[in-house]
Amino acid sequence: MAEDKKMKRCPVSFQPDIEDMLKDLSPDDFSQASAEERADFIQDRQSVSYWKDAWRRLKKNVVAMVALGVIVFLFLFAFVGPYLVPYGYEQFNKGAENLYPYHYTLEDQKRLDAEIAARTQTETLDVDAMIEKAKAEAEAAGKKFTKKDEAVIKAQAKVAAKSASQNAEDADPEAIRKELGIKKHLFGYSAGELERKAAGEHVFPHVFGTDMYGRDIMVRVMYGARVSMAVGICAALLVLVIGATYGAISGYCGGMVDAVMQRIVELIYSVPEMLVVLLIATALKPILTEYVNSGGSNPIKSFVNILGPNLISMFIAFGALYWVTMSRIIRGQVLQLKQQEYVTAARALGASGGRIIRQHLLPNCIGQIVVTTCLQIPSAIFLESFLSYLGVGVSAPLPSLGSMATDALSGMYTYTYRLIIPSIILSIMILAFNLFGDGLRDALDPKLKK
Amino acid sequence: MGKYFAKRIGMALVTIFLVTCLTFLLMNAVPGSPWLSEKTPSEATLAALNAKYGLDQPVHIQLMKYLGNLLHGDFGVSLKMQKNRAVTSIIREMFPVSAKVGALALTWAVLVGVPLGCLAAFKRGKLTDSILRVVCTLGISMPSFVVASVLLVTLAGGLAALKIFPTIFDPNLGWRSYVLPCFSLGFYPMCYTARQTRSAMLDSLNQEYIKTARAKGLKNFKIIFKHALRNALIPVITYLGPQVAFTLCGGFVVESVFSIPGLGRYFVQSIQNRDYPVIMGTTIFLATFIILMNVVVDLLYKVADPRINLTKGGN
Repeated sequence: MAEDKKMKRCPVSFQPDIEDMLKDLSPDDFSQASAEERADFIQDRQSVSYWKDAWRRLKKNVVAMVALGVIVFLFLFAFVGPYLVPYGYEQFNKGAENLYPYHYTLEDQKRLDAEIAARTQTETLDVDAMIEKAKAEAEAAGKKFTKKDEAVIKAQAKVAAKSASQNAEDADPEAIRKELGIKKHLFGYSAGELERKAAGEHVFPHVFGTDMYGRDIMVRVMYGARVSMAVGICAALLVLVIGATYGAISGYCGGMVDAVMQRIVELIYSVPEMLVVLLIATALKPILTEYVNSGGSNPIKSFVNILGPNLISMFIAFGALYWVTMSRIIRGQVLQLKQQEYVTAARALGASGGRIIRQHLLPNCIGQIVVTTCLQIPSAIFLESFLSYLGVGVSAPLPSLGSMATDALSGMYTYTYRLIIPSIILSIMILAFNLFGDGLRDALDPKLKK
Repeated sequence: MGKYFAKRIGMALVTIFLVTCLTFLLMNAVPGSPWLSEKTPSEATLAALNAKYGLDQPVHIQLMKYLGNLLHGDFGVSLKMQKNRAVTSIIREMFPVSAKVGALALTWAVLVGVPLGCLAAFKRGKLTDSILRVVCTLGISMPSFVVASVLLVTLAGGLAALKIFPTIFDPNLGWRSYVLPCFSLGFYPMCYTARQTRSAMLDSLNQEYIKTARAKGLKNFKIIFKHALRNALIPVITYLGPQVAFTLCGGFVVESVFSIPGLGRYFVQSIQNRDYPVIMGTTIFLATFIILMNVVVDLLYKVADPRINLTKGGN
């Protein structure tokens, strides 16, 4: 049949003659490919997804990876740490007040006490002995030992004792420790804890020391870091939701809607954020507290109660003002993207505006969204510490890094570590988020790299 | 230009109005009356007090009255901290101190930040650039109270510097007592300005006219400061407005740390004491100041670069 319908070939054609080729092939050549042959056929390079590509670029960025490591470490420190330390953030450890983050061993302390005692009590004890001695001397010399002489010796002894006690006051324990060669050991232990430790009990040290009520500073810093991170991440998510929705709607609708929405954004943009946040946080706190205390219970009330009125008021303040940057960025992206053919195609297929925004526009600016959200976290942490420092943020029993720094201000020269430790942890946290955000921006959007 | 100017001022007025209303309503919504103290006054006294200060009227009438008083420059009187003293007189006394500290801090921040940014951009990729980048990133990660306390703690370590620069503000000592507060307040804006300048300078150094300047044999100094910087400064100016706001608000903290008798510290104290008229008056005053500063910076922006068409190039 095939022979009958053989097509006429142009003599100068370069097209290979199938008939000729088929003649060379045996039926075996049409059997299924083996697994090995199949593997050979698969492309050497697998397709790289957007996230994989970004991750590959991010991995190369040493600074960003170190920052990520620090963030993970701080995260564990804040969220797992409190379960490992047997102290509570509100627990007053009796006898462990004002501990430094270092301690001296019991033997060293005894040596120190002995040394100080030795320095103070050299001459005071032997007043009577001196009188006896003077009496003996006087008798030996054939003179009468009068009451007057005795009084003179007593007065001398008194002066000596006074100067000795003065010496004891002047005697700087630090200087004596240096002379005796007593060394500081890491972590703070109270005297009682050292004895218990010597008795073979396992005592958890106060790694960062304790404050004036004997509260363990490390646990407080952990909870403070937890509050900061939680506030940072929640506030950033809040900003993400409000900003992305607002920006996408404004950009997609365009025209009159866009104009009105942008005027509102401009208005909020020119409001001095920190001032108004401070104001909202101040005013909402008592309002919410009263609301919680007003009796009765409903889901909202218990929710507010769990998070605490101040955290909620901080979120409201943050969410009300900080979304404008996000919305502007998303709007700009959407304005560009909505001109694309796939949006037109979706519209032609009858997709609703909401569906186009959710399915087509927002996923396409995911890079921008992730970067802006990530950079929003440090700014929220910054704000939280600022508010807590001023006493409007997180309220009393719950510690915050900012409020810990304020509390430490009064004794900052004697107990420097109380001020420095929370400050450093706070700065490292903000720094890590900033650096990671920068790295993420470079990785997700190489075009933006400057 | 005139149209833009009018629009910008109008916008600013609307913002100020809204901030005022928001402040008033928020402060009115706060539970508890200002008269509650250790001894609760009798019903009659309360009624008399409420009538005297107009607190017995509905909120919208109170708001109208308050706005009317504001137009006459009357911010009400302090209820707790300095009883019956007019808020205006408190602001008049304390704002100059804050403004001086803030202005000095911002001045040094810009005067140091811009050249540092130029230097970093010019030495791009070199050691100087890396060091400056680390310092500046660190700087924008430290809240001003951290800078202030680190400064105090390091200087307290037996250095003689503390004797020269007091840690507690004393106006009799003149400029010396401004050094530490202004340094800690200006550190963040300095780092921020340096970062902004660096990226703007990098853009500007890649332009063709810089190549021309170099080709005709100009010295580096002249290229940077005369040609590149002029264009690089424009985006830096944009950030100056928010910086003013930031410095003023950062002042709250720094003033508390160094006990500076400024408006910021007083504002914080009024928040802690819940002296609502003072909170309200100070917020409105500072907000107005910041909003107007933003307008001024926007107009400066136009002056700095005549090519910018503000009416259209807004977005």
